[in-house]
Amino acid sequence: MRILIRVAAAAMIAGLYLGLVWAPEDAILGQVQRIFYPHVATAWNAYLAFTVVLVGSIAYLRTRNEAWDRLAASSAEIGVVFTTLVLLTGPIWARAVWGVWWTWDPRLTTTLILWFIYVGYLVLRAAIDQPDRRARIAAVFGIIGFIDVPIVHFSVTWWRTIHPSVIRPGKLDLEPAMLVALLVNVAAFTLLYAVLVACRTRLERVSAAVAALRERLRSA
Amino acid sequence: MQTGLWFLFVAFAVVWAVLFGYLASLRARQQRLEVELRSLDAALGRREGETDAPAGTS
Repeated sequence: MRILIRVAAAAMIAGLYLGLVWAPEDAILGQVQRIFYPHVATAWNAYLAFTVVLVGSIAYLRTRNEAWDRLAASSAEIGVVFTTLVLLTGPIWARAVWGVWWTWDPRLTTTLILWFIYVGYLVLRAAIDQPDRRARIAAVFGIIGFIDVPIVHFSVTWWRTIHPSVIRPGKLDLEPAMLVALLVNVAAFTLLYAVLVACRTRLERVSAAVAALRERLRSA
Repeated sequence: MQTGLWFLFVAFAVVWAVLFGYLASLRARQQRLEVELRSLDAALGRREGETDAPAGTS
């Protein structure tokens, strides 16, 4: 775990350096284009986090093993943190480039819906006390909620949008140095995601142990 | 150019502030749970000690 934390921290610092200093300035957008590196990296990790919620939810319903439920709950919370970052960095970039903080563009709107879905998932979990019932209902919610993830991703190809998409199937509108900075940032945030999931899952385990002890004390 | 740099600074500051805030919240929750776990463990130990103790002893 300590090695993973150190590697993730080093990768985050490297990503910061490559994104802010090493990658060339965009000829049209200027310095503000560099927001793209953490923005895309957090968006990718939000997808990853919600995919893990889907996998954990399906696995829980099949096996009834609480470890899968803990993984899904942990990943959902981290996914919400990453989606929050996407929804904060995007408007900052939009204000600088488009002149507005927000527009009801399909990509932006579906991403906001995604945030609400998984905030709803966390609120739902917090509202149910009984562990088995909470895990079962959350798993169903986690599976249905995932439907929005491909909608967010393909919204730029399905509908008319002003959201830039530099990475499309078979097409990459990015200078090699910018691509390196992007890939390092994506890798760094993915390592950070792994660290956060490990910490958050441990928290869920301790929380379950506390609940079990509380129950034992009540019945002792 | 200056405006672009300002927005860039704000965006990166927001990213790191949110990440550090989340890490701090994880740490705080972990510490709170560990304290509760220890106190529950001690309370359970005391409770079981009382039940196991033979009659007439305290």
